[in-house]
Amino acid sequence: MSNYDDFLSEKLQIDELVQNGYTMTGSRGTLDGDVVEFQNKTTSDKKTILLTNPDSRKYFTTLYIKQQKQMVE
Amino acid sequence: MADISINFAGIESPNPYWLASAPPTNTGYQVQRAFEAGWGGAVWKTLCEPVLNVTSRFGAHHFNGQRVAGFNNIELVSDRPIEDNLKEIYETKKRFPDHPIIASLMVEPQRDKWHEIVKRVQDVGVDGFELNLGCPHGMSERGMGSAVGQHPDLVEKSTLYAKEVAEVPVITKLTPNITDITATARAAERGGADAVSMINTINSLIGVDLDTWNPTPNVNGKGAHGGYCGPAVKPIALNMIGECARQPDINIPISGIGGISTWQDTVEFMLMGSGGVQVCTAAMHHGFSIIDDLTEGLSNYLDDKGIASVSELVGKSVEKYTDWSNLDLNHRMVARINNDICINCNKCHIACEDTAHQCIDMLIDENGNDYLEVREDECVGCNLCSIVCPVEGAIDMVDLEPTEPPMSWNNRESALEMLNNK
Repeated sequence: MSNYDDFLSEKLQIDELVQNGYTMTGSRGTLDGDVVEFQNKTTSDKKTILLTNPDSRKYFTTLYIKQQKQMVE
Repeated sequence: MADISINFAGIESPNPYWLASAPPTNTGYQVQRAFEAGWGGAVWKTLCEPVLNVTSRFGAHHFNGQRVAGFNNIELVSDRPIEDNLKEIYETKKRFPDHPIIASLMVEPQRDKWHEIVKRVQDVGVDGFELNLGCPHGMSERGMGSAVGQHPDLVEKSTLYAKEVAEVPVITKLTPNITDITATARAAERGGADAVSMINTINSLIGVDLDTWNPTPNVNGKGAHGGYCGPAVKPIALNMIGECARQPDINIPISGIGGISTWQDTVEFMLMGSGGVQVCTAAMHHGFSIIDDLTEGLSNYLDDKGIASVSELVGKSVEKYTDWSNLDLNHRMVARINNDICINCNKCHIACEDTAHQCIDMLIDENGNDYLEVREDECVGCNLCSIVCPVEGAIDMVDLEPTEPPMSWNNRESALEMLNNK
């Protein structure tokens, strides 16, 4: 799979979680990539994903910054 | 016509081009020839206790047909008695009163030594002093030059000692042979320097002869490290100038030195914070007459840009020079190949395939013609293909419309800290 396909695949995981009511609750960098924790606002269900692609690691933080800005606005 | 005169740290000069302290400014004969040719000012070859020199003294790095891409010397400071130099400085100044002469000085970092030489030299009417705290070879083995310039405390003291008796501006010349040149620039400012100049030459060995196995340059079969300069050092100098210029606590003018060979180089150095420039290697390679191209090109550039004075360039790019952690991670640039111009040499494909991100495809169109195409989704915009491309205009690096707001590494770290602490 190409790097771009990797990105699309990991981006899709993030977008689906967000669409299904999950919010980011934590993140840690590891040698394998960024481990990002999500929690469902309604059910409190937790999910963890590993983002290995550099563009998706940029994407989730950009998304988080945008979400924080929207909350302030 | 634009005004290309400068006032550098209080020193008026008809143009921003000074000959750097080096072999071209060894004698009154040479400096007067330079002023006749049109050079704005000259930094006289360093005055010190007269030294002894060796043969040979210079070496050059030629690269791929380009003569003198880099230049190295193991010549020391002036080997002429100070009185001969002072007499010629006086005569030159009398003939060319509007062209500044800066005396480069070097002594041990002792108050009485600096006082003695400064007082003695300023009596002949120099326009300023440049403290040579950067010469990397020979003199540094005797506790002078870069042996002083690598220690911020000694830079501060030497500057202070000179300033105690100097009645004209003092420019402290800094060595690049140090991890962080801003440390010594700050030290010079603390010592009261009116300006700093950078960079002096870089420790270097030009090469080794494949038949004799002698270092180059060699002296009877032996070599010693010398000072590297010329076009190859320009990026190093430009960075050091930019690093100093962007520090909010360094607020003295910078005289830019390091591989300046063209008017374009001059503009770049001034945009990155140089109030004027000093040139040596280009003059040694091509002679004093290059000043015509330097001044004419600069003047035309300013006219084309509608800029009234060269001083308006100083520091204009400094705010664009920052830490990596402030760069936008979401900015996207990609390569695009112009197949009308491309000669299908495939260098871009090879470079990308072997050493970058494997995103340039070799394809065949419907008429059976070879062509190259970038897969933009995979392209990381590294520039390598456009760098290795031998044909001007065959590859454009194109900014893509942003799809995400800017985010720097610092922004990202702050966001992650917030995420993990909420």
